[in-house]
Amino acid sequence: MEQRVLEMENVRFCGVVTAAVSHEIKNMLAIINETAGLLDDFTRQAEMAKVPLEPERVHDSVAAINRQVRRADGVVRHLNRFAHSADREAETVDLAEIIELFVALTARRAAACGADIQVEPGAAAVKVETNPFLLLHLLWRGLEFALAIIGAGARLRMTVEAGPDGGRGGQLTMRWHAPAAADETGIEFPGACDRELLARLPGKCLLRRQHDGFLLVLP
Amino acid sequence: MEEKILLIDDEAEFVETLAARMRARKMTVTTATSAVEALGRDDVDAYDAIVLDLQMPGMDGLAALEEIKKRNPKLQVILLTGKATVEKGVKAMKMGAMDLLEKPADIEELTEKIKEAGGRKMVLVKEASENEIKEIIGSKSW
Repeated sequence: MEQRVLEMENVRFCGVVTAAVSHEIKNMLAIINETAGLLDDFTRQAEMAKVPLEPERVHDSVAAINRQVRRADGVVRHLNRFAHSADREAETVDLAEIIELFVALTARRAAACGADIQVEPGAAAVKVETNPFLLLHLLWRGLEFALAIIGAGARLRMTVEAGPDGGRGGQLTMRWHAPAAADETGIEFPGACDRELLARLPGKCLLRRQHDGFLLVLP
Repeated sequence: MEEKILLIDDEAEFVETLAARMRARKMTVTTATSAVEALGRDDVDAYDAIVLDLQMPGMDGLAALEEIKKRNPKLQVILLTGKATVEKGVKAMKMGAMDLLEKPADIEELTEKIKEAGGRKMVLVKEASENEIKEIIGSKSW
């Protein structure tokens, strides 16, 4: 695969993630906007009726704004971690943290397709030397494949385990439990781009399709 | 005239806050957090305007718009969206949406659109009734 094509795919991946995150932030801003507007409505009503503003209404509105600010802060933190995933060619990463970030970035995308994606509790700390950005890109391509073949109401579960040979390295799995899964979508996984991403991850990595998911072994 | 609105958005907190603001503006508002829930209601035809989020899990805004227009072309739909692409906006208008507003929307602008929707629906219903009467009169051989 041409370097240019892979670079375009990497840019497209960044675009999809940032578009999804900006959409989420817009939703939170919309709630803050309506809550501030509601507070303004209460103030005007109180002024017109010449009665004091009920403190409970103010407290409820402030609490609603605070909830959205905390929510937006979490989303921006994830976006920041994603942005820094491309800082280095390779670094030591905790796989549980990577899939937690991955699920946070993609949960809305999965929900839009009627699927639910979650992390299952696995091994405590599995650290590997890898390129986090390319790893996230490869996982996203796996998710897009899964979303194309599974029906609405599907459950996607991700796990992290220690590597197969004496605990070195780590394994990531994505499994789907779908009411209707069809393989005849014309989409291949792993395809040429996925294999190229795998080849560019540090060390000898392995990606294996399984009937209900895929397994990624990292050294 | 007190407009009757059906407000559909998967963000429960957004839908309830906006509904409270609309009620403060003398509108009768029903809320739903999914298109499936909203379309499952047996009084969908009775609303002056349906305010619909474009991007929702499961049935999205465009699919819901299609279903609403199939059921009753006279129903007026205003789409709200967090990210309005020109392509989707054009598609929505071609499918019969009355308007498309970007979030966060201005409440006064939305109120104006809702009043306009109520007026449009009233005209369409009146035209349909007149046509029906004309057809009945035309079919009689007095």
